[in-house]
Amino acid sequence: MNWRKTFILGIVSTFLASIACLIYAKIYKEAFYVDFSKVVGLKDLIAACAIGCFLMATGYHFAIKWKGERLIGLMNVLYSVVSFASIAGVLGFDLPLDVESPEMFPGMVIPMHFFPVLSLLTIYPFFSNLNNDSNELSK
Amino acid sequence: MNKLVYPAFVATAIVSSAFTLVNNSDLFKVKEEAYSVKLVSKKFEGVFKGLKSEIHFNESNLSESKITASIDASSVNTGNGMRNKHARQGLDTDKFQNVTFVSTSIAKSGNGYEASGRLTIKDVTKDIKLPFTFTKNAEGGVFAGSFTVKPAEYNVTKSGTPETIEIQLNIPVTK
Repeated sequence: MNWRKTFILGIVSTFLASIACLIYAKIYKEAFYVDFSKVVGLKDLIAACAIGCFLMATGYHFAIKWKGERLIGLMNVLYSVVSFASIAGVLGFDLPLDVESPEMFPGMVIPMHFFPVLSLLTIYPFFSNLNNDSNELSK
Repeated sequence: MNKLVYPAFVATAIVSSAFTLVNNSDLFKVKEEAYSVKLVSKKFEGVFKGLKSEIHFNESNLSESKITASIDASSVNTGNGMRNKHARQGLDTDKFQNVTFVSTSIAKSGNGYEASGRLTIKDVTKDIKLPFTFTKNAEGGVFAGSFTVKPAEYNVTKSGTPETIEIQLNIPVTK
């Protein structure tokens, strides 16, 4: 996977993860009448998704360069484990004291921690060389 | 005539004692939207809401000044949902909803004042001293003060509870 593909993978997965986060945040806000936009605003969500998705796409890039696509499975496990482990940060996070209902905060943010990895894993097959190879084999 | 003397004396005594105990000209009302009752420890900070108080304060007549205050213990907010739950369990807020303070005397102390009184947390009541200042302004004034509490002395012994907690008060009031 060249740098151009890596970059596009990062962009597209960021876009999808951000959309998912925004929709989820809106649903959560309207369902539970809580507003955490002061803590996690639109820019914060997009920036967090971008950092996660670009890091993961870059990880794919180096893994493929090093050992080919054989390492992708292992990378996926690593990404999932890291996403899961990042929950600890949310549980220990202290909100400003003027924000009400902090007990509702993890319910909004924890699922969002999985959106970047979900988005990347969902669209990666479209960028995979294995996919192209199998298409060529079927011809 | 003699029959009227005793009832008149008793009535006068009751009326005058009422003025002595509750002098409404010294009564301050807390500005609901502006007060803060903050708890500060080495591990975390937090706030309480739901302050109910009756503050009779007269700088030139401290012997008739009296402060009675209670705060909703279940309103504790430390900015972290899990810690809030932990704090509510420690304070046993299902059973003991309020933390209360009733002053027994107020005296001048340095640049400010010191209220001696009884603080009740859970089922334990202890004598404490609450140093505070009163800054007058056009609307009324601001009471500010702080005191330290050792939770273990009040049977707040849940694991992770800090050894000492400083309670910081900032209470803007109006007449």
